[in-house]
Parts: sequence; structure tokens; C-alpha cells
Amino acid sequence: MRILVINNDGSGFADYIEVEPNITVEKLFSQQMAGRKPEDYLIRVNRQPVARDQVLQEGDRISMTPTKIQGARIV
Amino acid sequence: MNDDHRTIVRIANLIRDQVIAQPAQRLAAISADERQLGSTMQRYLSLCRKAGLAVSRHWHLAASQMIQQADAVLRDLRYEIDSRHRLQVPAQAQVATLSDIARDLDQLETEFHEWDYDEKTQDLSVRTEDIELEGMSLGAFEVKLHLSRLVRPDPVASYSIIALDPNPASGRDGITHPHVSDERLCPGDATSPIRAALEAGRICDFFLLVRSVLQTYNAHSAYVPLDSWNGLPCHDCGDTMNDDEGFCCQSCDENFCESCSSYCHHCDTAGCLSCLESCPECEDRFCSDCTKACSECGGKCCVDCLTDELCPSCHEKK
Repeated sequence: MRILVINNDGSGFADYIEVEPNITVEKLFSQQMAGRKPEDYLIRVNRQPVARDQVLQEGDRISMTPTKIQGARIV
Repeated sequence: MNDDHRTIVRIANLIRDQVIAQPAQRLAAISADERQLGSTMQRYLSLCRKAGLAVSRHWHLAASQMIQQADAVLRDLRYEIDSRHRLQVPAQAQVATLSDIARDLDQLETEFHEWDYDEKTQDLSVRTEDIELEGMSLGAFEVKLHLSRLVRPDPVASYSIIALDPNPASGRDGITHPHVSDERLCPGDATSPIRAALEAGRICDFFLLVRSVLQTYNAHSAYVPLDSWNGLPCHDCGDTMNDDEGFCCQSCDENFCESCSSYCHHCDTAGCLSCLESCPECEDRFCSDCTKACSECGGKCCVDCLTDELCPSCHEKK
């Protein structure tokens, strides 16, 4: 099934991807953000906070935003 | 809180208009850059030709000068190419619809409790909770997105960070956060996702990203590090001094206040009162490089008081 994934980490891409039916939020996160911890991200499905075992539906919009991002200083 | 439906529609329309217009703005900037790039390239090629001509006529000095000038132009060319690359038109992003943007504004209320919109300035703003980094309380911040200039080649110009209960770095009123100077955030690792969010009209993502940067301390790249936020302590007396008030001793590399430091009377090097030695003859202070032992008695005094490597007493005896 087709869902919209917005990855606000790295370059911040937003794109439709095909995923297996009945995939949970937790499983999608582990596929998209291998090696990262879900607790370090704000994960929203259709703009709402969700449980990690929530099953995704066709057309869902999932965003993942790090809670900590390093700033810098302009030299 | 402003939940006037008409205001929401106005905001959504403004955002969408800006987002749709951005490829044209970007192309205009690219066009100007390319003219400049062409001109710089012409200069570089001209200098290379002249250098080649000078070499063929054995005018080595002229050739060397041409090559140096060509090197300088090459550095300019590299900078201009980088600048052009940053303006590269991206693949068409998922541009938010009006209803997407309206839903984003709803989400802003969930994430930030409320948002404000100033009709006059066309600024959309949210407030963060109090920000505390490594025990330093910096207060809450207002993140203000200027909708009239939403998409710019440099997205930093599109928004401002205003300290609501400022606790700026000592002596640096404009630095209210380690990564904020004069209301401008240096977003660091969030630069690309912020740009992507603004270009797609994902307003809530933009505010969430900015908040994540404000909640994070990067000690390696801060305008003022947190351990110097309240000023530097003098290594001798312990008094707090502003970042630009202290003196760094060139010998021991510690920071000292004005009262606990001095300078070498011979070479003007700054130093602390422990590292600077007092000449027994003239009683002025000198660094270790500017004091020498008398070749006769071995007593130390400053180079100004030595004559033929002898201290005044030994010189007088001779």
C-alpha cells in the first residue's frame, strides 16, 4: 500500500513509498530509520501522536522529526 | 488563540502563493549568478592565456604574476560555483494544498498550545516552553515566520527567534541562545530539512525543527559556550569578567582580569602577575623571554637593564 513518509532528519525528504499492508508504525520506523531510537523522534501519523503498534492504512501521512538537532554558529 | 476560519484561509493562501512562486524566484537568482560566473570564467581564461604567452616569451616574472592572479580568480570561481550549486532547482517537492496547510495550523495548536498571526506584518508565530540547556535557563522563545518572505535562497532570512525572557550571554546582549545571534538562528544540521519544509509549505514541520534546534546544545559550534555564558572567572582572584574583558596570559594560557594581569615592558606581551617577572633594577614587569641572567653574577634582570650581558652592578664594577 502507498503512504506518504516525511523524514525531517538529514535532508528532510517527503515522498510516497510502497509498504506491506498492515505494517505498524514501529516497523516502518525501524525500516526507514535503521539504527535510530523512536524515543528520539516526534512521530506523527496524519498529524497526530500515535502508539507504536498502530497499524498504518493506505494513504496515511507519517512524519518523523528529531527532538534534538545540533545548531551551529555563523562564522 | 486565533481560530477565525477566514484568517486560517488567508494564511493558507499566503503560504501557498509563496511556495508556488519560489521556483521563479530561484530561477531569477540563478540567472544573475550565471552571468557573474561567466564573467569570472572569462577573467580566469584571459589570465591563463596571458601567463602562457609570458612563458613562451620567457617573461618569467610576468608569468608568475599572471599565475598568482589566476589563482586568486580561481578561488572566486570556486566560491561562485558553490553559491550556484546551493541555488540548484530541486526536484518538485510535495507542495502542500490549502487544506494541508490548514491542517498544519491545527497541528500547531496541538504541538505548541497556540499560534499567533499578525495581519499587518504577515508573521505567524509560536512560543516554545522555557528552554534549559545543561542547567542554564534561557527562557521561552518566540519563533516568528515571516510569511511575506517565506521562501528565500537563505531560509534563515524567513524567520526570527525572539527571546521572551532573555538571559543573554554576559556582555553579548544579542546572543540569547548558544545558536541564536541577533534573533537569527544558525540551524546547523536542521538547515536542509528546514529548507525542504518551507519549500513544501509544511509549516508545522518547520516550527518543530526550529524547536528541536533550540532544545539542543552543540558545544563545538556555539556563539558563546555555556560554560562562559555568565562570563569568564579570573584564574587568580575568581571575579567574573565578560568574554572581551579578560586577558590571556601568553605563558600559562589562563584568563585573568585587568587587576591580575599586566604586560611585558619590552615586548608588550600580556601576562599574569605570576608569569611576569619583576626586574630588580627597574622594577618593571617582563616576560621570561625578555629577562636574562647576568653573565657575571647570574642575577636575573630585564634585557633593557643589561649592558654587554652584565647587570648594572657588575657593569659598574667593570
